[in-house]
Amino acid sequence: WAPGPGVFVLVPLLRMAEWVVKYVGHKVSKVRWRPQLAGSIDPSNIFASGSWDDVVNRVCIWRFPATAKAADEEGLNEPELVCAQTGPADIMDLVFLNRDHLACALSDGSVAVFSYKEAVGTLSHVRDWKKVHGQKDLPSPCTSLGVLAGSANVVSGGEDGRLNILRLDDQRPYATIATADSSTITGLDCSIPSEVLASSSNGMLKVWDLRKPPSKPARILAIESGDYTSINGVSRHPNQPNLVVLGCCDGSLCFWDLRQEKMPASLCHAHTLDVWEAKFHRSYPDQLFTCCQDGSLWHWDASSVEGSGQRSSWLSGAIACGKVDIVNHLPHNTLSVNSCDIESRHLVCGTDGEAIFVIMDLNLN
Amino acid sequence: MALQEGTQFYIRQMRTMRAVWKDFGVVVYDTKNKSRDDKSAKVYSGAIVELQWESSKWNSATRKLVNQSYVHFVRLQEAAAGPNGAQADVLVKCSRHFRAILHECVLELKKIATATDGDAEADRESYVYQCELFSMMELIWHLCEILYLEVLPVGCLIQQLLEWVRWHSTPYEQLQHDIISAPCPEEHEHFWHLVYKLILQGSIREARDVLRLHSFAHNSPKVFESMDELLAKMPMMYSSGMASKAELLRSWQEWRGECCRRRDRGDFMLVPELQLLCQVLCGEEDALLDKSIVESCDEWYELMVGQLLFTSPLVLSTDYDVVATAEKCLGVFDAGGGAVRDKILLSALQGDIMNLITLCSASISNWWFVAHLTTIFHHSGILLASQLEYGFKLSEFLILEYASSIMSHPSLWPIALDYLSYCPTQGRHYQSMYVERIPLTSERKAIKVLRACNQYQLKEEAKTVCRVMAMRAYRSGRLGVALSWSLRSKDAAFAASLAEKYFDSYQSLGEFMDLDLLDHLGSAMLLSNKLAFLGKYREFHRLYGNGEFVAAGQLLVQLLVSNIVPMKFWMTILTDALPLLELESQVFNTEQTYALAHFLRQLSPIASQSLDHAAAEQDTSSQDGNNNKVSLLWLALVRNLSRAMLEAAPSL
Repeated sequence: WAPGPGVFVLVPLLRMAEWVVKYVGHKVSKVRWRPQLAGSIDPSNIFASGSWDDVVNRVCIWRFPATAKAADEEGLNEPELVCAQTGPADIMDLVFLNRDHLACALSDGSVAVFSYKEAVGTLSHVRDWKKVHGQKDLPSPCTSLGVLAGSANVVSGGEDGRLNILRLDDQRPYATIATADSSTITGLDCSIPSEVLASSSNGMLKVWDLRKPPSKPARILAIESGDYTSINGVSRHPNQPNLVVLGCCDGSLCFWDLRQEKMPASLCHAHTLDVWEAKFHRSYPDQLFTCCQDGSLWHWDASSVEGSGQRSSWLSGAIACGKVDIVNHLPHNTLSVNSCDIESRHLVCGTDGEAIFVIMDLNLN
Repeated sequence: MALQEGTQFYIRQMRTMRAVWKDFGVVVYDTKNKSRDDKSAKVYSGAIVELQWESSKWNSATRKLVNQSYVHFVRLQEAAAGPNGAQADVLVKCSRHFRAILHECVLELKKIATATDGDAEADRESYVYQCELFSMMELIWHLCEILYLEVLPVGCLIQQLLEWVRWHSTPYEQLQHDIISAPCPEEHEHFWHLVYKLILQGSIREARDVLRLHSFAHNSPKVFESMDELLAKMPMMYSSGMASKAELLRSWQEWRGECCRRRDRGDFMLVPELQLLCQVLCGEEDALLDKSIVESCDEWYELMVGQLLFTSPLVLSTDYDVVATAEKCLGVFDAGGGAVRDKILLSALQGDIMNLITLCSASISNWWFVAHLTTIFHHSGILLASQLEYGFKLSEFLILEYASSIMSHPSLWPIALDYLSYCPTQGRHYQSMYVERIPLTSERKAIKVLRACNQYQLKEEAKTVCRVMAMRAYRSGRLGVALSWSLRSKDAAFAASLAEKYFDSYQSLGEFMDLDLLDHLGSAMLLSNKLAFLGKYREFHRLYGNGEFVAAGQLLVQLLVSNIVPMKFWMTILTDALPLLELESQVFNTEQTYALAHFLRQLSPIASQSLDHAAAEQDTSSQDGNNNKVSLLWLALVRNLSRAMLEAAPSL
């Protein structure tokens, strides 16, 4: 793997992707599309956003494209606010457990679950796990959530390095790994049943096997580069579960084949500042999206890169050398893009400039 | 600062009030202890009241204003920093963006005000007040843009001014609808007011449509047809800016000549209102100041622009005509006192920029307006042209004030910091003081603050942020997090002290904490000797646990020889060497044994010294233990040496 600086040249947009911006009056920490109806080809038109660093923070549900009535009134195709819930704590992470339930990780160490009723368009509070992170009198923020595959159970990780497994019908955590990590758990991925991937701010990725008593992780993988590296998030490839992508605090992107523990397959020094989120498109895994503290939102297209045999094109050295098409969808944005999500063809992202951008009808092969 | 009743009550109860600064407010408390006798004070003494300035000015509309204008401010500064500075068209576009944002804010505030329910009357009043304030700001900004930023060909100023009046006047659609739907339109009391208003605003086509509703238009068409023709032929309305001044002047004078002829001919005697209208078209002074004309205008500037339209339509912004007409109309409309807004508009028309900025700063309660307007003026060079040599200092001062005002909101710190970065003389000082006061509520926020420090080259403050987070983690017992923060900032001193703490905890607990971190330090351990020692020591334990005794032994000796082991840990290291010395298979060769002996000898004088003090000390058992260890070590070392020598000797 080539740890040297990659030569990443951004491809100029031949056709300006249409985008819409909505200034929402609060800094957006997370955006997530609501899952599509199983078996339906209609893309999801509802997404949730969470705010942070405000006196009163809110979880909002938006509709995009807006209903015809709202679009007429506003005269624009902006996302339309459907409903919101407020609270004092920052929203650190947001996941949809299923189409009707939304779980939020809060900075006071709690996890809250809301239920979204489409028919009436309301968001109501269902369950709270208070202060499951940190000590009793000094709670620490819960930083990331994951949905255990095949169930509606939630795994939460926090700044106290603890992992909790929470079930909707139980008031107390179902299971806790108190000393999961010596530093903050920054990202979780639970898309494989019984396996939890937890990334930490010490540059380590731990694989926990939930079938065995979880006293220690099944595996620990560490990025050992010269300078201190912290991992901000982890995401699995939808078709190849052993391939994960890690976004790091120095702007590099790490592609790791989990079957090889020693070192990552490739480490791309792509962005200049922290990569907050990196995720593959669920249906077109040759497309990768990364959002960065410097305000850029990159769309990586590896469809023209040749993979070698069984190995995915993402693991090939070509990516590290910069031979991949990248488009920056927000060239004039200067404030951090904290989160992005894509379900079908619309890419939604939230920034520290109190704006939500929706980039529409992306060209995906 | 308006206080709620409850708060006032608390404050009134305080006998000896003290106050302390906090963030962007004040904490007020009572220093007198409650006296036993005073039962009534029992409940209220000891209350702490926190007061904050300007907390009511923040709502979603103003937040949007701040964020959207920030984007355009940055673009303006980037353009101005370019090789040729900011070109006129860039400035105008920028100004229009700002105006559009202001307008959006006004609309948003109106929406919020109507959506507020009846209970929150005070809230609604504040929204309405803000709405009016922002509308006034939009009005003033628009005029400044027309007078100072637009580069207009001849004859276009009047069109821009008409546009300005039309955009900001109260809508007349409702009135128009009423008149149209009335059975007899001309009987409507405001029929002629509407006509005059439309004429003065330059909405000629609409005026003609309304006139056609008059019943006389059908009965005695000639009068109305004559007026209609005059209005239709009015020049100056759709000037494309291509014609020269002489041509424009000629066509206007021709048209005016025709108006005067028809007036003198008595075409409009039947309808006195039409006669007045014709006199207006001719630009007669008395007609323009006639009572019904004046009544049809809501604002003095409507009358002013209307007058300019018919007396000197080719006026330039620097002409004296403008000011004279303005003062005259102000005099006619003077409600008494002279509202601040009117003074500001008059300063703008007079070209007195300094007065304009002063009045705006004094009367508009937020700094947004003056800061952004002055920045645009500064980049367009107008401030220099007005002989304000300290123009750049003025714009910097105003940006500082604006940035300070948005600091009062906990969310807007990235924007405040960026505005401060455009203040060359004082910005950095403000930045360094501000960034240290941003509360670090979570790790993610601390990282963002750190990135901001790096962006603005605030190196000391960056170190401070990392130290604060590291100390916080250390105090709550999270050594791993503390170590990660000191690694982030490459703080060797703190990393060294943390490494010592790890070692101390190992000595007391008998095992390491945070093994995952120590095992994967990698080359980060090179930050400090003590940290490197910790990492290598942990490696020693791993090798030992794996049964790689020779490698473990080598590592141990290397550690000692390389001098990275602090003296107080030598005993521990040597004690670790003991089982290796006693192993069946040989681990240490002669050199290594000599090295170990060397270190033990250095320790022994200390050990023997402590023997002398043993009498004075109570804790003789540990000294005995120590002595025991030392003698055991000597024994093991000697035995190992003999074994090693035998191994090394050539076989016989």
